[in-house]
Amino acid sequence: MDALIQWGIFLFLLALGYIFGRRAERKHYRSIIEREDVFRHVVVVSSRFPPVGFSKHRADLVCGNVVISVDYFKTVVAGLRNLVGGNVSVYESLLDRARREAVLRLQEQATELGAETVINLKFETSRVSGNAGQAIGSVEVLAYGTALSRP
Amino acid sequence: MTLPKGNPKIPEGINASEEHPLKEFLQLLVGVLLGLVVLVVTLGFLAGAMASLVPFSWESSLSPVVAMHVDGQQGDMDAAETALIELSQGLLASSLEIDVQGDDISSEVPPDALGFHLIDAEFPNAFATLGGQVVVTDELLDTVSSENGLAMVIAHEIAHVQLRHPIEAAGRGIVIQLTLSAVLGSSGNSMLGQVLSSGGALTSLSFSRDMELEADAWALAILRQHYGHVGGADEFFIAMDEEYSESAWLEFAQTHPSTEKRLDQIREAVIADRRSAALVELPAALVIEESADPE
Repeated sequence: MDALIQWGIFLFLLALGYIFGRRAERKHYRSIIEREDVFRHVVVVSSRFPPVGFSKHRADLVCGNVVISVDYFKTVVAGLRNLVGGNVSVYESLLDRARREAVLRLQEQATELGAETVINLKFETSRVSGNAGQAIGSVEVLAYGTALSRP
Repeated sequence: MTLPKGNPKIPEGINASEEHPLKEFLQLLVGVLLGLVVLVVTLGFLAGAMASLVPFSWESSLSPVVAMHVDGQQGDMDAAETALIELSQGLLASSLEIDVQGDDISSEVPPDALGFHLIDAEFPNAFATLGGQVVVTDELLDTVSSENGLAMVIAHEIAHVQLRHPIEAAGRGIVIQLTLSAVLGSSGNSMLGQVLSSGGALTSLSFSRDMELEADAWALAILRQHYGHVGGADEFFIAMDEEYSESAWLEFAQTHPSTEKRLDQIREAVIADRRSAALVELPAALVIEESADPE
């Protein structure tokens, strides 16, 4: 009987995590794709040096920072994946969203500064574990670069 | 270096797979559960095979001390326990007279190692534990109306001891629990680990249910040897069925097979016996008066 209750709670949390996590992910991807079109003109490159004709531009540090939480469903799939190994594709989509969102926020900041382009883009990522113990609670992705604006 | 006109459109499905997450989840869950079932069944069989290799003297050293815990009516309980021991010794002696083809299962356990105890408890129950200790609760005496019904219960516990079930169950439990916690402790998600290990534990219960049916079968053989028939063997189970009717679908979560299933096996034997001999009355000392019982 105890085992049945435990399975019940587990399946309830799992369903909750799946339904809300999936909804949030879909909504987020839609918004990301939409905004990527909006900011397409703010070119972001990883080159360390300014392109020809930009040497007189003003340089500002811009960054975009995102923290996204894992849902229960993802942690369970990852936990099962832990036993057998392989790609944790549920986390891949989570990090993909975080990375793209961080670049979008960076582009937004660059736009506000009136920048034409952002060079030297870099990413940092870290785990915000909260009370998740050894497991992943949330992930933080920070994108930063040098915005070049016309003097 | 020249800059492009705009950022490239990011192609979907490269950095994050577009595969449905439920598909991955179900594949993993089915795979891991199947793996666990195979692991538990394999370990369960191995532990069962090893149990008969444990000398009974080792098992005896693990034997718990059974105390009577009586509140009031000490004299009645003493008399009842003496009668119970007498009946049990009779059944034990009969069990040794049964002709067994092949391996004699009862030969590993020295008959004088068995101990029989009556304890004061709220629930009708009987169990056999390590070292051949058989315990019957006084409440159980109320649920049977003939000696044959009580004899079936005692014979069932004697069967457990002779078939080495207590040490088998203990060994299997330890091995399976240790393995499950070693394998699942590393999954990083404590609740997932618990759920999966309860799945493994449920699988291991099937061994326990097999042992019950095996003990029932051997108990019927003892009864037939002792009384010449197995009439009345179903008394206790019918009483339990009426008192605590349980759902058949819950059986997978139980250590014991459903009462229905056990009654079927016993009824088959009763029919096969085709002898409706008279039942023996319960010895007077074992008839616990209502007044002796506070409830």
